[in-house]
Amino acid sequence: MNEPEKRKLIYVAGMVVALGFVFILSSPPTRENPGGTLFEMRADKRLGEVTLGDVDPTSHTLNFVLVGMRGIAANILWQEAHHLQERHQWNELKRCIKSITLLQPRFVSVWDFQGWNLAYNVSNEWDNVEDRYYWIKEGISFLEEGHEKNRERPELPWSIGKTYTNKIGSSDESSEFRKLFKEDKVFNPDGEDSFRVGKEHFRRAIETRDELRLYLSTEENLISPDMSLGTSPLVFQAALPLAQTRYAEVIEEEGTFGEQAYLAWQTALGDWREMGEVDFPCPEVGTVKLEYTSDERAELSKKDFGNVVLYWSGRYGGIVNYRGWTEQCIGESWVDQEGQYQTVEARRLTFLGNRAYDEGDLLRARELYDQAMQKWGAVTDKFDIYYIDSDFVTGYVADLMGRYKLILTHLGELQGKDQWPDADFVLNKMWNRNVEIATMMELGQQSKQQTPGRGMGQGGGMGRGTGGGDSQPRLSPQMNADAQLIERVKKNLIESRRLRNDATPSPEAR
Amino acid sequence: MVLDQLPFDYLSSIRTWIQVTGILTALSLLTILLQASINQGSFGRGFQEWKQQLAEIAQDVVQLSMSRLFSLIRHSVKESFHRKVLYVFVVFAILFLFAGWYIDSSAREQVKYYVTFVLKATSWLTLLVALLLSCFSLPSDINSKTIHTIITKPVRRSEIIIGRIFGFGLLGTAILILMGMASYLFVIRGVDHSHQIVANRLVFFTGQAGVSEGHSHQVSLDGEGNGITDDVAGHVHQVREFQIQTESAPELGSHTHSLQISSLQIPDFQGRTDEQAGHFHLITINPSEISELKELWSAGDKQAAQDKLDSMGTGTTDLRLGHYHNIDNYEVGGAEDQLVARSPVYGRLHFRGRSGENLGQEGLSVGNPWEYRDYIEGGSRMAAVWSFNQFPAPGQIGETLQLETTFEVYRSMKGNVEDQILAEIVLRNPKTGTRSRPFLLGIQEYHMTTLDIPKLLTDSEGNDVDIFQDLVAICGQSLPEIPANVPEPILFKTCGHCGARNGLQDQNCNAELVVEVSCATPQQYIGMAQADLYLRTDQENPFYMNFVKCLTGIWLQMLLIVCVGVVASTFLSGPVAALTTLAVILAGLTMPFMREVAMGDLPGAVESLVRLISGESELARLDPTPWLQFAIKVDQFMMYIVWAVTYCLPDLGGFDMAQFVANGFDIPFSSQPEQGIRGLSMNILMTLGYCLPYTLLGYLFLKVREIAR
Repeated sequence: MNEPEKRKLIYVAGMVVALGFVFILSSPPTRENPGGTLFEMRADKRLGEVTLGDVDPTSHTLNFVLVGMRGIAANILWQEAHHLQERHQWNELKRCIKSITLLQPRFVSVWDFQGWNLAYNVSNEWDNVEDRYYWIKEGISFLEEGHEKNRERPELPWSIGKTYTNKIGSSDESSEFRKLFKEDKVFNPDGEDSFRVGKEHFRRAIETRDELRLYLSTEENLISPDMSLGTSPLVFQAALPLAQTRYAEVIEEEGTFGEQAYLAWQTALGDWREMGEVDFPCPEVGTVKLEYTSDERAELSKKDFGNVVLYWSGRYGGIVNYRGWTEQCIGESWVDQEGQYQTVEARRLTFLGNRAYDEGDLLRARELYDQAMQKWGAVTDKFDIYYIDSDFVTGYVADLMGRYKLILTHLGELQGKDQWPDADFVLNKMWNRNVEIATMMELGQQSKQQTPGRGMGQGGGMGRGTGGGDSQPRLSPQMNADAQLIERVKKNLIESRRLRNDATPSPEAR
Repeated sequence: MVLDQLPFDYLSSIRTWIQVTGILTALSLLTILLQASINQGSFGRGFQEWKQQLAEIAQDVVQLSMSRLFSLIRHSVKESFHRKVLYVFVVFAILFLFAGWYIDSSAREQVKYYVTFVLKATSWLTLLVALLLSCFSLPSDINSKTIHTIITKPVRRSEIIIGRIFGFGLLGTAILILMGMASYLFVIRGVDHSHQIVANRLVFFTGQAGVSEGHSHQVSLDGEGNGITDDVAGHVHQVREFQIQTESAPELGSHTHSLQISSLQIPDFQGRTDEQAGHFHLITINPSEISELKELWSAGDKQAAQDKLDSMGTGTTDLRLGHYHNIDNYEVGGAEDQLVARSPVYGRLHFRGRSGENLGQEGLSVGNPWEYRDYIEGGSRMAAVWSFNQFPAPGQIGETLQLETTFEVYRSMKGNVEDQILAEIVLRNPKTGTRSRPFLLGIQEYHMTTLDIPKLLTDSEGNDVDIFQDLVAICGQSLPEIPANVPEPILFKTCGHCGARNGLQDQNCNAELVVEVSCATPQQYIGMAQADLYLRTDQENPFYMNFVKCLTGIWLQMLLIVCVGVVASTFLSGPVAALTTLAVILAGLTMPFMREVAMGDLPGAVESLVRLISGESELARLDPTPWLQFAIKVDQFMMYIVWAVTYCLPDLGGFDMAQFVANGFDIPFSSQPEQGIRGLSMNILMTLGYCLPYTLLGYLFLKVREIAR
């Protein structure tokens, strides 16, 4: 054997030894053998392909064929995708982004971004509602596929839930989308409601997040599992109860009342309460909950940092408007002592009144509105939330007032535009009270106060009614000053109300 | 289909070709003269040798022997087999076996997917074979000295070059034919799909129930008279055998409604199919059969009605994504009209402004970054006007005149999202001004929408109008008549409209029709480009012909690459020749980008380097220092070279005609310069136009190269 041949043989032998070593280290477990160290470590650190999600042979083939040019290929495909989107070549766009995910199946942002792109941007480019709905489904399917390949990541099921609740459930075309979704036997074989489907995806996301949290908490270097959520852990968690709340709202808007509506609100309340029990990470005190029982509060008050915990609990609750939503759920599912649904019935009567009004049956509409207002009177007397909820008053009540006024005008019972038959008219009361509260809030905000206000804007989908909660402790001179300012604003308001009442002639005087 | 290539001009193309080829030939001759002068040591002797060489070249080019050529071709083919070129079929087979991994069978536009995939795969594989065959053959022969066995025989160098080009071309052709056949079968088998009728969804009858308790319901019933009413006042009624069931409603109490079978209507669509390949269809069961069924129910003959219901069930679906399905015995058949090759007749588009003024080719912009389409405003006098001056003859269109459109819409406000934006279409005679009644077309964005216009219609005042007699401005009058005694050559055709014989057009005289499109929905906008509205004629080629035409484009491209490869291999080593050919392919495929680089306003490479180092942005004004001036001059020189090179390399993008096949449009043989369509004839001319000078160049390189001397 000559020298080069001998050298080659040594190389080959070296390679065989090295590969054999790797093979032994990474061998998977069998009944007799617990598996190689590398395999164990990979499984333990969750770095194995199989532990991350489905393994796609196409994807591996492509990466193998590209011999390290994956990054360049992905960049070219992104440019191509942008170009195709600009040129309205939607089907080609989908094919192109599928190729990107073949190259980078574990890159969650690609799935998340492009799933959103399909369901929101591409869908919106089509004029026909059915086409728009088709592209929302494409977006959801895309996100689902991403989740199959990245089962450990909570963002994708959360985005799926968001698409069901926000795009199908709350967009401008939501009534058409919801109808199409309900009738879509292929995509939705059980004919489920979009909000409830969305809620289940949020639940899936939370469970995945919790698993991840559990896993990461065992690690030496604690990485926050909430880092990857793409949103605040509060908003992430609140999506579930909010989906149920929106479900309850929307079925009433669509004409479902009675027990079904009541149960929907009760479930929503349960979901919010469940969220109140969750520990949220708080840099100052470790973790806080949104809801503390009176015993827990008493316990906390004995501790040095108890007030701080309660302060942050209130602040955190304000972010997602925890108190406002729970109060609304309580109000909406109110059953009186005789076991009658009061708020649900008030909404049903208003709904029927609206329908009679739309059909031109003004007498019947008035009759139904009168009954509805009687109920609303009782509801709003009992629950302050309805005065504070500006959406309710400026939307729902203002609409009702407008219709009622028109009916009275048509029936010849109302002469002037601003006259009302009765100063105690329940809607009038609600309206005036709301204006006061809104003014107070506005004044409070002008003095740069941290007043109880809307949690998140409507865009975030969280806001409504009260906000911050009532558990703000007096912690600093600044906060003392704030509280004093609120007191001053309240006094001013009471004074201005008194003055206005004095200036307004009574109904008898008119 | 998007046609966004700029219009081009035949004459100027030919002029440019002559100029470029002339310059290249002159340069080559000059180089030979220079080389001869250097070899001989003086210009005079060099000139003598040059003349002698020219004579040899002329001889080599003119006196080709067919038998020698044939032997060389055979030699090239044999050699290719030895190189195991047929392994390409293994790659091809693997690609197609696993195509299912890449092709999304649930996606819309299956035809587009499949056709694009197979044609791209075929195109790339053929190019790869062409590149590998042509670049390595000659250099390896020279290296292994096997070329000596050929050179020493009485064979002309031109024959060596041509023999190789033809030989490799022949083999490439055979490979392409086999791949093409496999691809065609793959497409035919892959794109067919069917649907199921969604259970319990067929609605044969609709109508209004009688009034009871101050309200009424709409009913939707199946063939047996079962169904449900709509929701009125918070309740619905079940319907069984045309009897509305009693229902208790809130506020109204228990009640029912009457229903007259004879008053029931037959809806246009009786139901829908399930979703396959990203779409569903609406179903129409033969209306005459449903009428008969209704009569039997009205007569109370229940058994006969049941029998009729079982025996019927033929119909059709609506046209969606360019195809429809037939229905037989309530079962949906395969896709029809899916694989077509439309022969559209395009018109010229101009826009009319809000007060009726001519806006030329530019309408409104709605701010889309892609400015392919221009928009017209609804509720105004704005219109898009297409002038057709090659109107098909009566025999060329079917029962109705089919206008196909692919408009886009832009909503300035949402309005009722379920309401379509409407386009109003009017046909007008440009000479007499006669106008048809307006036709309304609901726009389905990104879908092809067809408007069938009957040949006999009415004008805006209700008078009868014939498309061919009244709306098409008949030709002939202004054309010189061919004298009767002139024998009629084959090119002279009789016009289908006026009967005049003319030698100017291969179809008809200038029969003109104007189609005006305006937006009938106020405050909304419709977007269109020139190719978005066309007339569809009956004279269409079959799909396989179109497929073959597309393969011809690939074939021409392959020949060009073989030619480039062989020429490159005459003076470069194998790998370098392969890289050069690959560069030609890439440059050819990105020719528009290359031209933009060469002729655009962007800063050049050296100036960019200066900006990069000095941290200045692309738009910042730099101090005009002498160094910068120098850098700019260098850039200009380099760009000039790129510009010159773009004229020497073929634009391969135009050979890829898969877009036509995938979108169901016939690849025209002759080009349509006004529409920017490069026809097959143009591609053939281009191939010849590049191959001839390339071959000559290759021959010259081989001739001046020192082999076996």
